[in-house]
Amino acid sequence: MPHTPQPPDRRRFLTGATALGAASLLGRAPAVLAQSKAPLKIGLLNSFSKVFAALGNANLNGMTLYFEQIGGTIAGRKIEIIREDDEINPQVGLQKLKKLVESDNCDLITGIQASNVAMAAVEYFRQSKAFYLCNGAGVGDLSYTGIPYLFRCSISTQPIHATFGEWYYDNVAKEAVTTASDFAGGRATVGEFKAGFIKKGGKITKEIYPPLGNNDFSAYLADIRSIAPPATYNFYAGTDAVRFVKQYDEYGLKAKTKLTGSGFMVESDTLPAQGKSALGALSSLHYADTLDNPENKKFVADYRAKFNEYPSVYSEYGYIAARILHLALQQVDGNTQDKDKLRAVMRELKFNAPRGPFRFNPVTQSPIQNVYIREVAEVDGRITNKVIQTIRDVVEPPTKT
Amino acid sequence: MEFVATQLVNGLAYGVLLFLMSAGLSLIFGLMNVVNVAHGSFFMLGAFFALAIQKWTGSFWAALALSWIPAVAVGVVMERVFIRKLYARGHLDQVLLTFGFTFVFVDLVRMVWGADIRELAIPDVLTGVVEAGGVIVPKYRLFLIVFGGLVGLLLWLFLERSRVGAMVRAGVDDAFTATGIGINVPLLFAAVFALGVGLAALGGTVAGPILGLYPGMDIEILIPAFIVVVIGGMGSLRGAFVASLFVGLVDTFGKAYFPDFALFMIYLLMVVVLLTRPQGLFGIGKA
Amino acid sequence: MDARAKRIAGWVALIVALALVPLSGNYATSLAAEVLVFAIFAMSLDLLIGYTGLLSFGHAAFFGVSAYTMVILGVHLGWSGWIGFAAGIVVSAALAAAIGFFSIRVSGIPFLMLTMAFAQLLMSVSVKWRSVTGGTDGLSGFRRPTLFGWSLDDRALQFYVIAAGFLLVLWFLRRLIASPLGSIFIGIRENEQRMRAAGYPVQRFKLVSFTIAGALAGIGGGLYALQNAFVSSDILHWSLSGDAIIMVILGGTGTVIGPAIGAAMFLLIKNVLSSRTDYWLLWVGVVFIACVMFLPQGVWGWVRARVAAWRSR
Repeated sequence: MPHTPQPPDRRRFLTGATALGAASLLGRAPAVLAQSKAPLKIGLLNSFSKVFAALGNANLNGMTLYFEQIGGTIAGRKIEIIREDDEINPQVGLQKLKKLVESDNCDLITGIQASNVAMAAVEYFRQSKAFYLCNGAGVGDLSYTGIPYLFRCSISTQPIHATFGEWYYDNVAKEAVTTASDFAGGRATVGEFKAGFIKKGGKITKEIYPPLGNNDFSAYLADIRSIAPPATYNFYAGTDAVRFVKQYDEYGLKAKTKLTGSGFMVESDTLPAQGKSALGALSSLHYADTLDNPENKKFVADYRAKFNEYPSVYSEYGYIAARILHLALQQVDGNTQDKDKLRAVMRELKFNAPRGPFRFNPVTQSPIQNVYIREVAEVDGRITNKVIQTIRDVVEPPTKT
Repeated sequence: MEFVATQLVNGLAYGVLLFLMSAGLSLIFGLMNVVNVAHGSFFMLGAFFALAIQKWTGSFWAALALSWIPAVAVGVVMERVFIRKLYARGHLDQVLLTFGFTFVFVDLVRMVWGADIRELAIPDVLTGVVEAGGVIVPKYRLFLIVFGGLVGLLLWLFLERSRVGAMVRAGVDDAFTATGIGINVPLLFAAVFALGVGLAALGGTVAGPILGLYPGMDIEILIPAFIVVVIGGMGSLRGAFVASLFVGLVDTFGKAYFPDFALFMIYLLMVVVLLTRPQGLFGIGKA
Repeated sequence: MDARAKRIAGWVALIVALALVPLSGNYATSLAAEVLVFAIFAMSLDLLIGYTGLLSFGHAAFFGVSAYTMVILGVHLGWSGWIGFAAGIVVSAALAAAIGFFSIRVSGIPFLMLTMAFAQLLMSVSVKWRSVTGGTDGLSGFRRPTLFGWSLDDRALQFYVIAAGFLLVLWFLRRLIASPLGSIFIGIRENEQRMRAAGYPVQRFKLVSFTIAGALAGIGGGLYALQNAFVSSDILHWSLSGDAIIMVILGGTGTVIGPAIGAAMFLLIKNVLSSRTDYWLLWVGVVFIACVMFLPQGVWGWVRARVAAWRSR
């Protein structure tokens, strides 16, 4: 069972002692020695209901695809994924996390797509010392917690957006109007873009922050039109992204004011609904399903064969989380008790993922990976992102900026 | 000047959208004294049924013409089997019942159509913008203004000028006496509920292309719809129309000139109206 | 056994049951603590809905503001959680008095909408004022206070503090309802006109009820902050107010403890179901609809009625 710093629970101690005694009386090896044969319980905390349900499911699909390909066991331990729904609510997420760690006795935890849930969970991870591989939330702060058993294999948003800020200056325009949903993620994204853009000398003409869940963007679009900048940089998530991009096109802005933004604004969860209105949008992300490398081609083909749809960035998160767990646990023969050893091994991992070369940043334990500049285009009758430039092995700042 | 003119048109278009979203709610309350918290759910159902019909027939117009039918069917069942039993019990229980239904509907939609955001495509004839005097308006928004105005007009004619409308108004004013003069009030109530629900579904269908379709969209329009109905006055169609345009304009100009306070303005407006004139601008005092 | 002895026996049984909870393990204890926190929230709302006849859709405001006060004072100023807790209750009571003052000028549906509007305004503030509240990502890093030197990070001790809060609120509400003030509240719910005709300053009493309910919700909010050591703008969302209404209706408005039972039912159903299916919202809706249609007195009310019927046969 995972070790927690709580004072030993008397009832559990008594039960454990009795079990140990009984087992040795019966001449069988106590459970603890046979641990490497016990199933590998992986706790997956995602949002499976409400607005992020599609993301949570894609994430799980990516993981199960990989685990199936390796035969469902690691180092002789059968893989068991226990999933829980955090309802995008931090309090519910915390409760489910406690269930996974304390009641289900999971060997490791993965998941958490929602930033607010991830931030709420930080203190719990710090105190419980549970081993956590984040395969979702990109919030910058998660890189600077200093918690040894907390890894992140998805992204850290800072390098993605700051890199684009620099590229925008060199390739799009020297000025920008920014818009983003008025929530923590929106503000952070614009801040990260500015870090790269202003450093190079770019000028921000205006920053606009529509409220989260906004229905009608026409007022803001009219404002942009009257300013008439060469391009805009934007960030919205989910349905807000769909509406904004559709309405941006509806108002005919794309012709005179280029549409650019965070990769999440034009990703596989929003593109089907955005359709042609997203064509031509420029964005940055660490992945695109059209990436032309052998790993990705195989991943996309396998995913389509199994799930009858194209993988999303969230599926890829799940896929390489599973791969990381596989590679790391194999090296320690499936021993999840010795967390320091597991950590040491995980830190050294280097491999080629569908997204390109992957390794962990030794300071932040978040990824060092490529950032791709992408353009939304119609490829083989499907609207998706094609890569127009690659910036290799981007490293995020070692301390919070 | 063009900026103001543009925002004016934007505000009107958004206002008309709000009208289509809230007319049904106002009608059902005004005519039946029932607060249908599941109003947003029928909005959502209308949009998704429209999606299904469009996939099946390939035509947006067919979807627009027919999507209200399955939505009304659902509404009729809900009224007959559940709400009818609660007429005697009063506001609180109806609010609670319809509130419970919102959970059921949202998960049913998710079960059938999945959790992804879907697109309701508009026909080519309505894509693109119209430019006049420096003001740019998307064709679809113009269509909305015309369509919404037409719907409003038809509703008004129906309620004010037709015999059925007169019966409805009688049933509202005094159900007891109306029954006495031979009006089948229960049937009337069922018909009015169907009308209200149908309006919500229609609203969902026309708003779908602009808002995007997904299982949580019911909640997102519920608040604006309630705000409009509260400001305009429950039960007053004229109130719903005027308030929709008013809220649409305030929201649009608020976003354009006071962007930091956009979120607050609408709630503040609601608070001010509720405190100064709780029955709404044109309400019939049914609070 | 006479009525008084029965009541005392009931309290003793409850206290003993609560005392034994931490023996069931860390996770079960935190689940029980969550139930108690929301039980307080639901019981405070019932003072409004069940006893004074005011259906408020913005009750999460007082729960949330109290939690925010405690966490903000702790994280930004380093103040002890206990001071934060007291401050939180004061703030939520003051806020309830202010919002109540305006809200009670209307009733029925306008009252419902007005309370919701005020709560949404507060939520907008918490989303925008990120430097203080952490916005949608929330505020973490709250250090729980100590109790006589013992750390409240210990799950069992945390539970006992929360249970003590619950018992206090339960006892207070029972005394309140049994008192003349409680009878006035019930009178207002039954027939406001008549109370007015009899000369009672009805508005003043509504305000008192609203303020007390807000302060009690504030106690719940403080305990929530204690348990989670985290707060985010989700706590002010009207869906939390909606959840509280579900708890009150499920349990039943007729008794003080009914909503607590409702809270337990709601949270347990949700937890059990969401581990088994992604469509747990549907089932919650179905159960709730069934309750509204067939058990208007709530599950606890129904149980009491059955027990009374069985007793008297």
